[in-house]
Amino acid sequence: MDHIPSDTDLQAARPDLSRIEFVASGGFKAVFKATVRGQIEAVKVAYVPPEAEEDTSREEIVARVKREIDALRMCHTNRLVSLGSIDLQMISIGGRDYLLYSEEFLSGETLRNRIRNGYRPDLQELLLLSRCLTEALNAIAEIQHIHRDVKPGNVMATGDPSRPFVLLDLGIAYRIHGTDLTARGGPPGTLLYMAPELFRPDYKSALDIRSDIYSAGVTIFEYASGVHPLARPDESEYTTVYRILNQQPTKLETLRSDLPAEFCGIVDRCIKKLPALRHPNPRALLQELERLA
Amino acid sequence: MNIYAQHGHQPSDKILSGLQDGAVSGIIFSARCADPERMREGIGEARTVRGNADILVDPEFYAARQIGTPNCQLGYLEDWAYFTAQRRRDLVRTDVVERVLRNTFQEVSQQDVSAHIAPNIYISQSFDSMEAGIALNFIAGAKAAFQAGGKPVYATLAVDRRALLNTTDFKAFLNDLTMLEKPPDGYYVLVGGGLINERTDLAHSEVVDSNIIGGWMLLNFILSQNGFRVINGFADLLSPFLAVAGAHAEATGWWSNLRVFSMGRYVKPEKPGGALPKIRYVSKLLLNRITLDELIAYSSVLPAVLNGSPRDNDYLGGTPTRTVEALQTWETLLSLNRDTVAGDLERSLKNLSDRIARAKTAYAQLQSRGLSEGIETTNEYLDQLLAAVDAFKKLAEI
Repeated sequence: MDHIPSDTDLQAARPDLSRIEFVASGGFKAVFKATVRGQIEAVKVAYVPPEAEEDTSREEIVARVKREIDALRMCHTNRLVSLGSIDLQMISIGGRDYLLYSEEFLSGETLRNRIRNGYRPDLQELLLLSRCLTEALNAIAEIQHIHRDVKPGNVMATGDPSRPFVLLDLGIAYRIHGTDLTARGGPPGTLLYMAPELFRPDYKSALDIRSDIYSAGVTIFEYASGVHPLARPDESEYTTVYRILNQQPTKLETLRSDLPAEFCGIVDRCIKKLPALRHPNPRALLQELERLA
Repeated sequence: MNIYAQHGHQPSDKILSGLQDGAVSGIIFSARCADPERMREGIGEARTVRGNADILVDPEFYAARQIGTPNCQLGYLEDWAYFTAQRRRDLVRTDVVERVLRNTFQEVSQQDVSAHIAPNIYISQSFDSMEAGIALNFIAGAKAAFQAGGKPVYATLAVDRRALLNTTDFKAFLNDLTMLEKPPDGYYVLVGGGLINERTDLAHSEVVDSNIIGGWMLLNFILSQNGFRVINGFADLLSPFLAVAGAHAEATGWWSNLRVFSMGRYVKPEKPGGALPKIRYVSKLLLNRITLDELIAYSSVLPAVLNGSPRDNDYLGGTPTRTVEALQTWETLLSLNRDTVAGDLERSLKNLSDRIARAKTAYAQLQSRGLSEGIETTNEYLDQLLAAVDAFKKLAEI
């Protein structure tokens, strides 16, 4: 994100917040950990450029943040991060406009960190992750949305048995049949986890929840094996895209022969290139996972 | 893994025997071959033999485009009230599609069927066409129109074999088909020849293109993976291929026009009549249908050409009846399916490939004994079958 405000500037603009601590930034938002009315929350701040900076319009950013909040409000599951106590509001920091709201603060670590540290989950944990992710996707599908950015960096392992894995960041969630909010028209999401159909120029006509099922499959695969099913380290994005579009992914069973073939088969099915070959919806995927459990 | 009888004009003795013997577990009646009253009688007769048989009626609405065309032969179809000509430009309207679905339901639901086959039009050229869009609307509306019957609803998907060759359009269609909001319980799939730019005799030819067979398998695989039951009409010798891919049932009949689907069946042949086809025997080893003379000659040098079933005696003792021929086909296809379909897909596909390889070896052995008539054509056919398995694997990302 451009123009990330400092902790001090944010504190000055919002004296009701305390113990402000920058956590991360990405896309068009920055996340701060802060205490709000005695509770620790994740305060999200999105820079809203003046009209002169035309790369991303003010309306687009405002609409995207509103949509993320609306989607979170409509989803009734603890498999997704929930909203905090600060409602969406526009604030000015150092003469610049920002949108600000809060979500619950989840402690733990992302799957990305764990993968980086060489963590190797067992079957029970993988089943739990698969179920949590699928339940999150089911909640998103029920409100006719698509997450579009499921990836290890957006899944928090909380250590809380009641909600061991939580899916974060609906920032580029998309309402099926909704208005296009990507001004440049390029595919959304994080390249490594994007379903093949999202690389098509007319991808919006092919978008459905099965694209999220693909991303979830890649995430589970990578968490289980430590490697991406298609991409290779240090290769160019073009090569990765070529692989996503044309190459058959490695079968999970070849990397984790200790896991049951049925589980590996479920994950492999999620990452089929043709959406019709994947599970038709999260409910169908859940049913398969339950049969295995 | 069921074999159904594809019913034609002939009396039901073959089918009743098949039901009695357990060679077939269901029947697909043709609205073209019986008016509503005769249909009721035919179904009643079948129910008497086997009360729990799967009985379906193909409304054959896809033939409605032939109404009023020169040389059309629509049989009893015009005795069914739903079978009326519709202009294509009217069928793009959802209300017209819904009306056709409702009218068909009202009439077909009077029959004692086990499940309903909902009508559809024929996709004659491409999955990226107005016809494909209309067909999708028929499928999308089938469940709602037929659900009052309280029986499973199968949507018809009738498509020209050449449409399966454009995999981009075919895959896009499959993506749409598997995301319908109110889908049917299953599909009645017809893959065949058409009328457009095709001589009717050619439209009757068997499906021998590996990519078409692979595509037909993919259709079965995807639909079954998505929880739908798939019944393949006119599947005949391709039955084990479709069964391996996940089909619930395959149907075939006793004449060539009941073994291969063709829109040509709704057009009078240029030269009507002709000699009856020779009685044939389906050999599991050869994966082929051979004449009685071939059976005698081949089995004398390679006994494994015979299936080893009690039915063989009917052939070895002289010329069997047409009923025996039909029963032998159904029994053999059922046995082939049972032998080939294993617990998991990869093993089933291997069984299929092994079976084709054995057929090739058998033909080579026959050739080495001087029985080489038609061997090149047969080898080409078997090569196509082998390539079809590979084509399917590629399409299904296996």
